[in-house]
Amino acid sequence: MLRWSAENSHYTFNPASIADTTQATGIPGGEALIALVDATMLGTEGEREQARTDLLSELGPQGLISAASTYGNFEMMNRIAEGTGVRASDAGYASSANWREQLGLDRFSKGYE
Amino acid sequence: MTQPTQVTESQIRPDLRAAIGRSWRAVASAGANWSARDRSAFAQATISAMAGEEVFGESNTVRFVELLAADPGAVQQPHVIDAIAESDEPSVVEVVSIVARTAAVVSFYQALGLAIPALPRVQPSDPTGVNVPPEEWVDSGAWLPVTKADSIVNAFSIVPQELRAWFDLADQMYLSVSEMADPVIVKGIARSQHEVVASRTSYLNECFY
Repeated sequence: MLRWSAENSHYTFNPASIADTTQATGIPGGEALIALVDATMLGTEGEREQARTDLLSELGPQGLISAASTYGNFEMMNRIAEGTGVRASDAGYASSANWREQLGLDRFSKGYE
Repeated sequence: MTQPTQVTESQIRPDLRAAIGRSWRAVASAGANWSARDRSAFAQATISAMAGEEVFGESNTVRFVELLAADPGAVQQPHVIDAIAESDEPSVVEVVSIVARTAAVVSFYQALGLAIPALPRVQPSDPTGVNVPPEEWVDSGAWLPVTKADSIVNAFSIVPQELRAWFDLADQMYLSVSEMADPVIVKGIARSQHEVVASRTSYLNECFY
């Protein structure tokens, strides 16, 4: 989804940035978006406030709200996957081989056992 | 001029706020398999567990709720089997739906730095019992049955009320099915920006999706 949308938006997306935050994403505001996710999931209250302030400055109130709602949606998706033991479809798994290799996703075995 | 450090509740776009309100009211109303009181208790247990508070419950189902809310990566098939043993497959699908939708709302407000809205008052009512009958279930290799084994979108398909509730919330929190077909859609932020958030969240959760 990310690579597809980036290509259609004429951005040069760097897939490695999803796993390695020292690398640039190539997506406008990408670093601030990743910082919000990281701070919300792993950070201190001070880091969360800084991440929100930075994202507000870069993408505005609707940017922060939309980023937060997408984050919430994927916390939901994670619990649906983990709670039901649902697996990736054969087609989806096959088409994501390059992406999985770049990000080391195959160690997340519950997606497809 | 000082930069703002947070948004306010009133800045949340109306369609998103309305979807969150519907989801919140739905967990305080009867479902197909659980009463309004039970559903509200599962939602409250989810909120407490995500806040790091101890959830006091004797049943395997409540222990499953607590684990799925607070540490979803630790859930294993035996937890699901134990929960099914106390009720049945549709009931556990409904539990997963309540925990997942509650977690979505809690996570959203946490990311914004805003207080989580209180759950609505319970509307006393009994379960409707409307599930897809077992003869229409399919074993997809997942821990819970579905009606069609082609992707995660069918995860709640044996309990149609929960499938509808999930899509109603996801359509606003992320993208609707038709919006997902548009690689350059702008919904608050650009599609590729939504996908950066989605990818990093799933990566940190070690979630294939």
